[in-house]
Amino acid sequence: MNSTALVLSTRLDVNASHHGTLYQPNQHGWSENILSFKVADELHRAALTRPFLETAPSIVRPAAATMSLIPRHREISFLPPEAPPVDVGRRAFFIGLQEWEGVVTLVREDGFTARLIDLTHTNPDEEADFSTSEMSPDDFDLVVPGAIFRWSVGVLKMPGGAKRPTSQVVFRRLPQWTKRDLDRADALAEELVGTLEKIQTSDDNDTRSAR
Amino acid sequence: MRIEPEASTANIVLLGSFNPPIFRPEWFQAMGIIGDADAQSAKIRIVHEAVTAFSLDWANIQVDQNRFSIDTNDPPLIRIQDAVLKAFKEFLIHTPVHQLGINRTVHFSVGSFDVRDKIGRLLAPHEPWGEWGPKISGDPENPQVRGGMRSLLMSQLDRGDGYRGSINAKVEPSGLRPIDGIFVEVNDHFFVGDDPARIIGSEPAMNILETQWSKSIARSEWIIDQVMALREKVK
Repeated sequence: MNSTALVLSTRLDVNASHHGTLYQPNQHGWSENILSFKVADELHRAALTRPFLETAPSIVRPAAATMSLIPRHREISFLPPEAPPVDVGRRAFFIGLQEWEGVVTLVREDGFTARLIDLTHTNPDEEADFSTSEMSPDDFDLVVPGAIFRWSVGVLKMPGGAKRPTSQVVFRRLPQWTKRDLDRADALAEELVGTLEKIQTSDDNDTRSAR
Repeated sequence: MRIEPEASTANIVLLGSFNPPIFRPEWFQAMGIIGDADAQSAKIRIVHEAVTAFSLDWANIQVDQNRFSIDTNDPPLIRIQDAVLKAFKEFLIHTPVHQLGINRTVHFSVGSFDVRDKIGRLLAPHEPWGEWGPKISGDPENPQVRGGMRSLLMSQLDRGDGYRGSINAKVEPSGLRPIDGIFVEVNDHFFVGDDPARIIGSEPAMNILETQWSKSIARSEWIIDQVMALREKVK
């Protein structure tokens, strides 16, 4: 038999164990193995559609350890695209120290008034005025009475160690209520009404028996 | 948390079946999940039929055919919950999601190399390693060759809240503060339903995310705080 071997290589390290774990990203940024198993698989399949034949002594195939280090097949010309890792070490971090949830009560031309609920401590609700200059332009359209936002106050930690006090107002982009949400709310309301009616009946009975 | 973190991240991971090319900044913008300026300033890292990854000013999103991941470093952390809920509860309701992870990570400083070393010894003592134990430490004066705990993972398998899954906490020396920093990651893992093959949409996973997010973040920060408390214990 002619010693012709089909040599295919994807030069990809397929790490199947990548799946099934929810650890992502790692502490140094995005996982180094951003090209996951599926990408490797995709590229492997792409490679299979354009196979190429090379002559190589078939004897080398079963004995990988003794294979020649001289390449005997054409390198795949395209390499998988790689995403540069996010370098977490060189960026500033906004560390939140206190956070409020706000509900817009009044909209003005240059800002709005809101009721604030302290999410960090058990302080009573407060009311505050906000200027549009504190907001992202992306959020301008979201400022309507009843809109919900978060106000975070904290420090910006610079890569060199310096700290700057800062705060941020972010309007929440919540999903639309679904029919199921509304049904659930109705069921909860009915349950509450039932409980209140029971309390009322029990109070009436107590009053009657006291007479 | 009793120590102000140096850096902090929240992350949501969904496992299921996804179509990566649709998860582009323009799609998120068109669906009202992110704003116009956010979409225009997005940094695309890769768009491929098998994987999409891009960064916004406040989040990183990466999607492959089995996994969706979004993380943020900046408060309010709830923004990533809102983004996931809006995407999968309002628009991608037929996307099967069978596992969910809510992850919280923090880097913090304990003030000195010595204190961090003692915390490492407290969490993973060298003595049980027998005759190798004394050799692990290396030179106490030279952090470059000071050996010890590199990574410790603890798992709670009985969640105690009726959900299937686990709560996992990992402690390591911080890559951001190599001398005196500690990195803690808490992974709150939920299995959605009993049989992944019978999951036909994202609703069950989104119900968990919606109801458990705040509890999960609070519990993770409480676990991180337990590790922070070791600073006082070893002094």
